[in-house]
Amino acid sequence: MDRELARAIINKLGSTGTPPEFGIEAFTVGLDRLLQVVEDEYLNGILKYNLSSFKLVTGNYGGGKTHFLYAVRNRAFKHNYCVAYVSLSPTECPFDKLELVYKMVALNLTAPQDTSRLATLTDKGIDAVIRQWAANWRSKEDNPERLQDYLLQLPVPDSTSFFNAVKGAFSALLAEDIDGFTEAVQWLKGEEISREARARFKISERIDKSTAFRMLRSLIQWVHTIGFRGVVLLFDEAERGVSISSSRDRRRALDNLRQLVDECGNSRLPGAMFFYAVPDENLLLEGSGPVYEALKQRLRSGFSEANPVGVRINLEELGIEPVPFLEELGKRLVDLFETAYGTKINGVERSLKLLAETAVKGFVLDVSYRRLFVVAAVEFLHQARANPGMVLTERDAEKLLRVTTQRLDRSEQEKVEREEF
Amino acid sequence: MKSSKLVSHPVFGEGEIVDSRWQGSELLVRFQTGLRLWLPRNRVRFLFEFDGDLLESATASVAAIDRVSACRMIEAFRLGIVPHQDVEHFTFGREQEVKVVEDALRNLARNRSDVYMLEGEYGSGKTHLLEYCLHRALQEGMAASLIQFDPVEVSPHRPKRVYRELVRNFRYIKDGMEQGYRDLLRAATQLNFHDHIFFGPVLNKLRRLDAGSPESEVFWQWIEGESTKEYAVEMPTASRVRGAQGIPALYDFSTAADFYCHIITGISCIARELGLKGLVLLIDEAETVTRLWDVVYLTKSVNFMDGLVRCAQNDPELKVVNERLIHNQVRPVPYIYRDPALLIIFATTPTPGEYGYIRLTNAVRHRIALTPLEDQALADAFATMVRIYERAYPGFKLPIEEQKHLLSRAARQSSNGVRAFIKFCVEALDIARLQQQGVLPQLVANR
Repeated sequence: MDRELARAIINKLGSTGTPPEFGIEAFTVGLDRLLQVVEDEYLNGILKYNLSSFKLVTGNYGGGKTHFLYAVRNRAFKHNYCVAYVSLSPTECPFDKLELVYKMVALNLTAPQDTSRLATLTDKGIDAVIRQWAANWRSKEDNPERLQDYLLQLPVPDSTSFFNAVKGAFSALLAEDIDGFTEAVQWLKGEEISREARARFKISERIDKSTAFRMLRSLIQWVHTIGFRGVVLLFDEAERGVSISSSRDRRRALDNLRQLVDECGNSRLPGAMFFYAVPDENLLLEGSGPVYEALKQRLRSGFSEANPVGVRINLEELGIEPVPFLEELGKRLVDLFETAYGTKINGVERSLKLLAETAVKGFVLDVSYRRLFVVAAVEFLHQARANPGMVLTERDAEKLLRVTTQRLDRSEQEKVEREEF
Repeated sequence: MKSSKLVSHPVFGEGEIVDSRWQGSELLVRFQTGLRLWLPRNRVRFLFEFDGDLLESATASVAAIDRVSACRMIEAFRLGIVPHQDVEHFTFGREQEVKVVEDALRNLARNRSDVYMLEGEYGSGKTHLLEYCLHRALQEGMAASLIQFDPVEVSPHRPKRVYRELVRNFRYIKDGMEQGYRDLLRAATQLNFHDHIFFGPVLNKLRRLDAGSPESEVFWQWIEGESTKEYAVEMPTASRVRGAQGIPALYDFSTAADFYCHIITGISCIARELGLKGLVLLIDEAETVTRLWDVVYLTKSVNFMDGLVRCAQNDPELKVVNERLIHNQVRPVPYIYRDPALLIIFATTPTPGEYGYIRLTNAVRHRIALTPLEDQALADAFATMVRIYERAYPGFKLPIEEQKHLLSRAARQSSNGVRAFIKFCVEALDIARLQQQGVLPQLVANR
């Protein structure tokens, strides 16, 4: 692995413990079986037949949900899927406001990219996808009439307005009409545009709560028609729990989710796969009333076993015990660390094992023992690099984990206050 | 199933049913602790002993199915859903209900409009039966539309959205080809509907419209209930619908129930005049009528549902402007146009304490209650599911003894509804397959 990339990964893991957007495979542990099944059965399986699927991903705070979603994203890219990773939050993107969810999907839609290099995904957004679509056509066809024929023959998705807008953006780009392109894209991203622009592109609908679902469907149908295999949508529930505030909003959100699940059961979302990650399914499904019951029946699993093709993927049941899991993770971190700093860290296996055992023993019921271990392990590796031969005692391990917990709590609190007040 | 009198309660434990009342909706249970209590039926879980040998006499109904369809069905089963295009191949133990539906369709073919209510708990198979009705209606030469109410997207207090959804899902078969709403109206331009307040001028305009003009697409979008006012009315563009059309607007306000009922009954008359046997309107999640939090919206929602029911019952009082129902104040019209050929089937989950639901159920004369499936139906469904699964995953085989064992376990789940039964079966098959492939360890499966 490239040294710069390794150092960037170590920096990110050492500061927050959250996974970086790049190079994630270098420290993925225990997910291989799940990812392989997702790849074989879905990305390279039924989605190829224009079918769709929905999975509920559950895992504790810091239990690897984002990591799993990024890993799915990377595999989806390899199979020519567009991906949108959307972080749900109570303010910016709550699931009870589907129009905001659609906006975030449009903003984060990403055509297949190389995720092994040191870069965050910059070419994001529906505009970037349209640019790539136009560039592909420009490279193989410059006859305007034939391009017009191509546009005419494209199947119309559920929303004619959506179709007119993407067609308009495509044509504007080919005609090098930047203003026209910007206007069409502005509407596609859920922003207001002038009446004249709507008239020009024959856009008759607004993107609001009553049309958001149709727009989402149309986006998926359109992506499929322009040469990608489909769309993988990754909804990551905010770490602070349910991203929905009032019980009424909650019911609406669950109803939206139920509708999404039903759409996947039928065939109106060609090549689409949804992952909805929550820390605890009980937070989502425990409630009374028709909406809860309807969703519960669809998303609950009949078995407690980890079934990788079942509707619920439980990241707590990876088939590997917590201590061996952390030990394996520790080994990967050592490799990364050595690459990052061009040095050899010897004799840290026993200390890392002790750190893993202490994290599991003392913090397994705490929030995110996995994340805690990652941050503490990186901190320890820095210390071991400065003091070769350093060995952790049980007391040192406990202290290191406690200090790390306090640091993570503080930064989490700052983040919450920054976002919500 | 044997021992069907045994039940389990989350608090009181296991017990035996000794009596029932209110048509079985409440059960008197004697618990093992000696406690005797009257409990609502849905608060207890039935304990069944299922005879797995029924599998030997089971009939797998799917004869030939391609792999894509098999995969689609299996993925939908994982969510507890049957894909709508496969519904006819996957309907079991509903002979009585199907007969009622067939009779209703036959009556519609004889020009007898009516309305039915299909009731059942979540997961009992209501949507499934509606899908079945849709397929049968299309096969019988009727126009049909299946819509699903939704508190946000398609709420009954906004009749225009209901109309738009009806239009979007509108289907009929002609000369072996599936046709839609536009096809119906194009064909209707040959007919005389000048007395219909909406279709009269609409068909008139369509007769004069150049199909290739930009104005044409705009006009169609407008007819279909999309808002086009931004560019069709005010903007001086090539696509503008010029001049006064003499067509009433498709009102977007909630009091316009009369207008949309008039249109829906009009569609049924057009369908009949074009040689179809009427219009079948299937409304799923009709209990949405009760899910409105604003009392004004609830009233308007109930009014629209009431109007729809009485339209399908061809109530003569609705053939004139009727003060007992809400009318739009811009241009009040009778709810019913001519003699409609309309069959409406609502599917609802019983919500007996809710005002909207009570109003709806009181108005509907025919009810179809979905009860739990019989043993043989479960065995047939299971045998079919195994066959579909084997088609979706070539090479997968499960020994018959294991199938019987699995069916017995799955049947116990059926007391939680058909959906739970289907999900359990498919997950068990998944686990068995993944074990055979070595993806899952054997010990996981045997727990």
